[in-house]
Amino acid sequence: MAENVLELHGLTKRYGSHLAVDGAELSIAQGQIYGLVGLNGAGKTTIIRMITAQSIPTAGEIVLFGASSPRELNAVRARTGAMVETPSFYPYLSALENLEYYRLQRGIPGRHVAAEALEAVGLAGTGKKKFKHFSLGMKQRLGLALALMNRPDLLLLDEPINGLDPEGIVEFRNILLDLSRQRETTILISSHILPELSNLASCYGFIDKGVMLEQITAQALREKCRACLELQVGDVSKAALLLEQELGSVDYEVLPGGVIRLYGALDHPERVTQILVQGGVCLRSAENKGANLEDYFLTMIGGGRHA
Amino acid sequence: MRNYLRAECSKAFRRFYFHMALLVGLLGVGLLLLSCWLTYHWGNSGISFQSTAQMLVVVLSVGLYATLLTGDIVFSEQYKNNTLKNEVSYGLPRARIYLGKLLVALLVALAACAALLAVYLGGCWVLFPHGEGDGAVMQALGYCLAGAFPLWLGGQGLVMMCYFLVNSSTAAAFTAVGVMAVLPAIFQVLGLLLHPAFELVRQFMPVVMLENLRGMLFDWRYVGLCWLVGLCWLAVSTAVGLAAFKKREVR
Repeated sequence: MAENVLELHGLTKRYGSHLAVDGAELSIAQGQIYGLVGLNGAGKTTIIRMITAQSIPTAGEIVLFGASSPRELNAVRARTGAMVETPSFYPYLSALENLEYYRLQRGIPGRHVAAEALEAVGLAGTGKKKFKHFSLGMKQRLGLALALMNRPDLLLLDEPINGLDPEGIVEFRNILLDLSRQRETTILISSHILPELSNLASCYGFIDKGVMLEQITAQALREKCRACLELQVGDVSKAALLLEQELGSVDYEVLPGGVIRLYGALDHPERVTQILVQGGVCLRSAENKGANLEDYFLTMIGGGRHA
Repeated sequence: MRNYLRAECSKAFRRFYFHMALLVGLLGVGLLLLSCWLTYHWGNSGISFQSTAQMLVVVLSVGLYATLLTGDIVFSEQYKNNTLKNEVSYGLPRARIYLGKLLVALLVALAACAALLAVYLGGCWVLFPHGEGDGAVMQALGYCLAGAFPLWLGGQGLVMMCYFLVNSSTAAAFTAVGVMAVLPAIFQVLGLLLHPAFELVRQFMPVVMLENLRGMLFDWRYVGLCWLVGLCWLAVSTAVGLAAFKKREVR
């Protein structure tokens, strides 16, 4: 099993009487792309800001690359890349001058590094154009260039595709997937754009009102969200026997509370209900189920609100 | 720390703001020299190297207020631009950030001060007649600069503390001016109205010590006191600023 690159234990942040993050538990294994999902104000950015030392936790522990003391954490933060909220740079400097300044500051060797980072995000041609004249999309790309400049082992991205055009989103996704595949870079990414997140993430953490609700792998989530016919019956054993006899090798699972999830025969639900009723099984309900990431999250937090 | 200082120096010394501020300073010096030269040219026999060089002694407190500019050049409106997050996120210790910027602000101040002094004194040396009192005025100038230097250091420490702790650079500058210039006046009034202790405290304010300096020529004990007080202002303001900055939310 891959070792954890990042662990949060009981991480809490309180601003006066407002509890922004309440005892967050989270673990990210090496090479994972971890999608942090939550509504506005749920605590996603606060968590990332605490990991990146922009905010001091009220309580709890951050373990980054096995380090947990403040001094050790500062040392290993050099192995991370971060883009938190809107990328910010000196407005009177060009993209290259900004990156070169941070390269010098962080002691990253190689004069070519800043230019390469700009090329990787498609900003190589910006020349002497000052940051203050950049569009939002260009700012996002420069933010990503800064995060990638030190070839990080862990990338922390907070709403990174805000402001990117569709082409930029695809490029951005490809950059992250390449990093994950080729360099096994671990990525923590928070985003409101859940369909886009579902194209990337190998693991999800759901947060609401400062509380981590669930941490689940993409594989397990797919299993949970798989399309099925959910039946609630009186006699589960009898119903299961009937389904096997009549439908053959049908894929199903039995859940507590007299619930059977049937993953086959979805095209003919009326036949399934007919088999059960004619076989003398008390059928309380039959419902087509299946969800995407958005539905799953909204159901988890009680529905109605928007991520 | 070396990398941090390199980066900060490369940014500060290449800033248009720094070049413009220095240019304006040099133009001011040039204008002063020109006006003195015109006065001398029109027959004012009182103008000499001695009298013009002596003018520096009168404007020592300008150096204290100039720290607002050098601080601003280095701090670069970090809170307005939200750029501090790019530094703390990558594991740069906050002490390094604070002390690095303070050191570079001192370097910028030193460089600007050296350039302005060199141009002014050089101009005076070249343009005006010399006399017997030249050596004495240079000694007096050396004495005043020796006493003023630590007080300027203390001022720079105070200014950087304000820039780090106050969100708006304008408000930070006002706060620093308030402490440097308004507080001594308040202490003076309180000393008269309430208790003489306030007047005693006022005597240790940098701006008051700079004013006193020219009245205590060649009292080297007073220069020693200036060093003690200036370094205390630097140490205390840095300690307070750093402690608060370490707990500060960075956005």
